Formats: sequence, C-alpha cells, structure tokens
Amino acid sequence: MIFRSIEEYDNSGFSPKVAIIGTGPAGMTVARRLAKAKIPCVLLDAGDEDYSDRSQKVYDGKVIGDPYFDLDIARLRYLGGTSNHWAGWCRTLDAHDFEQREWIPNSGWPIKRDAIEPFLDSAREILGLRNVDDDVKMSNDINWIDLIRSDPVRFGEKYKQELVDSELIAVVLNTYVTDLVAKNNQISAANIISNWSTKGQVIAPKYVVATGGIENSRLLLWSNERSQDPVVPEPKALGRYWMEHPEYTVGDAIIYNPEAYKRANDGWAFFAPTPTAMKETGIMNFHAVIIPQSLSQAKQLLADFACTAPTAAEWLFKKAEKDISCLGNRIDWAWEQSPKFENHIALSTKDKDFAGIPRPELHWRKGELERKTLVEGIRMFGRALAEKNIGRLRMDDWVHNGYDYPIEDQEIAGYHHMGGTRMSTDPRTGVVDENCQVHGMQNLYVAGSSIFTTSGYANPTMTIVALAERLGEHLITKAI
Amino acid sequence: MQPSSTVGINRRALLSGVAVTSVLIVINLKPKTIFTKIVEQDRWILKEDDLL
Repeated sequence: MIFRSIEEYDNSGFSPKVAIIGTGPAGMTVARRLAKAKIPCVLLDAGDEDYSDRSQKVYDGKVIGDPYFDLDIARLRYLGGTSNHWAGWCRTLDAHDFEQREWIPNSGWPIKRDAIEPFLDSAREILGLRNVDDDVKMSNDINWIDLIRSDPVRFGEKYKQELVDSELIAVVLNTYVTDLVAKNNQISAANIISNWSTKGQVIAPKYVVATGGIENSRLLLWSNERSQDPVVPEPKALGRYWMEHPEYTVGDAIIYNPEAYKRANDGWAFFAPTPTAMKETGIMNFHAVIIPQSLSQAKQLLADFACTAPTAAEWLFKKAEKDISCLGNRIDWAWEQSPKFENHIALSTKDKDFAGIPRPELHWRKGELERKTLVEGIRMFGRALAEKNIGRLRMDDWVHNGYDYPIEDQEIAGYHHMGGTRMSTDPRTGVVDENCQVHGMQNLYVAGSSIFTTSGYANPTMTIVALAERLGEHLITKAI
Repeated sequence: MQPSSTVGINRRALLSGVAVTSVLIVINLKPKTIFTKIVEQDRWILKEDDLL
C-alpha cells in the first residue's frame, strides 16, 4: 500500500507493529524483512515518489570545518532515499574493521563481523550482487581487493510494485516526522507534518529511525529538546563521532606489469593494507585505486620518470615495445576516518526549516591520523609496486610536501555519512547497543550508517543493508 | 646423577645455541641476497637500481 497523505493512512485503519522512519536502503530493508515474517509496519517518507526542489531544500544545512559538499545535495529526500544517487560500489567492512585497534582511539565495535555474515547473502540478493572475491596477497603489506561496481539499486524504483502490492507494508509519503515523543523510556508517538501543513501523529509499538547519517542525529537531537521525557536518555554521544571517507587523487604510477593483479574491464584495480601492516605502521584502513589514463598522460608521466631515472625509463620504453599507452595510471585514494568526539552533528541556533525544526550543522575535520594514514599508506603501496616489479608510483606534490588538502578537481569525500548514533556497549560512547536499540529505551531502534562505530574504507551500502536485515531479524525473533 | 645431568643440560644448551646461531646467520644472510632498497627521488618511490 502506498498512501500520499496522513489522512489516507488514518482512514485505512492500518495497525502497524513497527513504525519505520525513512525509505532508503536501511528503512526499506527492515520493512521488507518484517513483511516477510507477516509483521505489519508503516514506512514513512518525508518526500514524495519523485525528486522535488522544494523537498530537497529541507535538507539545507551548514558545514563548519573542512570543505565539504552542500548538505542539501549530499543526500536525497524522496522514496528510496539516498539510494537514488548511489553509485553502486559494494563491499562490506572487513573483519578487522570491527576490532578494537589500540592505535585508533574509540575503535572497536560491540559486535564482530560474524554478526552480519548470516545476512550477507540476503544483502547481496537485495542489491543484486555477485559474491565478493577473496583478497589476494600482492606483497607482505598490500592485498588486491574486490570492490564491486554494481548496477545501483534505486530502492524506490526496484521495490515500488512490491510496496504497492503489499498488505503488510503501508508506505506513507509526504510525511515528515518532526520529533518523537517519549514517556517512561518508551516512544509513545511520532509527531508528523503531512503535505507541508497537516499536523498529526503516527503511533506504533516500536519505532525504527532510518532517515540517514545526518537526519538520524538531527531528529533525535530535536526530539530530545522537545519531548518532556528524553528520547535518548543518555545523550553524550548523540550526534558525535561523525565520520566520512576522504577521497582524493594522490599520485600517478607507471604500471608495466598489470598482469600481476586482477583488473576490471576498464582496467581499474583496488588494493588495501593487511591488518599486520596497519598495526605495524599505526595507520587506519584504506583502499588505493589504479585507474588507467590517456596516452598523452602516459607520455608526460614517462617523460617525467626519464628525468629522474633515465636508464630505468629507457628499459621501460623497450619493455613496452614502444607502445606506452598502457603505462600511465592515476592513483586514487579513499580511507578510514577515526571516530572523534569533536566531529559531530549539531542543531543550528539560527536556521530553521519550513516546520520550525533547526537545520543541521556538520562540524567535520580530518585530523593527524587521517594524514598519517594517507602518507604512510601511499609509501607502503608505492614500495609494494616497486618490490614486486609491478610499477613505480609518484606522489602528488601536496601529499609529498604536506600541503593542505586540495579542493580543485578532487572528490573530497564519498558522500558516506557515518556515526552520530554509533553502536557501543557504553552509553557514554554510543547511542545504540549491539542490537541497534537506543540505550535506555524500550522500543526505539536506529538503522543506517549512523550506527557505524568505525568506518573502514568500504562504501557503506552493503554493510547498511546487512545490518538492517539483522535488525529486522532481531525485531522478529526477540522484540515483537 | 646430579653432575651428569648438569653436563647433559649444558650439552643441550650448547646444541641449542649452535642451532639458534645458525638460524640467525641464515636470517642475516637472506636479506643481503634478496633485499631491494627502496628510495624516494623527486616524489617517485623507486628501487635504488632505477637511479644507476
């Protein structure tokens, strides 16, 4: 069932066991899992079935700190949520991403990767993925890794007909949950505004907040201010430990032995450090990408190489049999950000949206550990290429000389909003427990990458979907 | 029994010492035969031989 207003929904007499706020990969996955177990749920989206500028402007916000994207374009506010501009890259977090690593402050999830493995097959099915190939050792420090570029699933498009036909999922569009109401450690209602003006409430025995890596914090922070009883009774970590994946072009490389590793059809290949190498170097997780470039760039790169190492360049030229078009490559980099209390979502004290809800402020900076991971990681990768006679890497000037992060012609980050309601056994360092349940609340859960304790380097969607499947299963077997 | 036992221990210790020394020699020698020195020049990460 799909309703377009709260009045339509109220008139239907639908009686949900769970209210899920947000129709992106996390919210829709929880809803579909519950429906398969014959558990009725209402699935709320603030936007409509399609994109609109008016809806999108509600996502305006302010960024304080490092350069970042405008918040109104960094996520999408309509059916299917941010899956609507997802690029399709898939890999789960590695097992070592879940571990406590003493050189990374605040690392260590309360669950191990084993906890999501039973849900990876269903996550793959939902996302239409093949199996992820095992890592392949390239050197003592570096592995080739499989990062899948899938045909991205737009959840609103792919699952719309299923939602229309479902008698167990009631989708209510144009329904903006402004705040949650708590009483005696339970959520008693979700206050909503339907179609920009009609106020109302949605009531269910249980609630799942799945509005994205910025809005989850915003909704809970505002609810805590509005509700007489707290929605997050122990709010120290609420909005905190926010993370992204920094993404930059960091150098180029002459690759003369690409047969040494697996390549995609377009020649791209991905690499990551081994857990031992990270520990010994004191760095976080990252992935390096080798991306083939044009002939003109290959010529320039080889000319530069000849200035530094003329004999080696001559040898390379002969080895390539005078066809140097395959030699030139760009090196892109994406890496883990350490979870820091200072990086956080706050509520603006000045700016409000049409409903009078404070807009979000993102306070976000990269720190010394991010820089160390970048520089030491590139050196580690460059050494591996040279030692294994695969190629030679040249760092970009800003990396080598420790200049500021560049802005022009750079990705900057991955549009991956993680943390804010992170998972921890300790309410002082996290908002949800190992079952995604808000500490101190009996019927409130959070889904999505806001629950990530640490970020790894992997694009988050596959982990989001696996964790959402796990939350759905928990609700089915333990909570309903 | 006590003195011969002590001698036995000393022999074992001696043999262990020889074995450990042999291993250390192998470990020490191996890198010298296969080690490739990696250097940085003009932002490139190179083998030392590249600069010859």
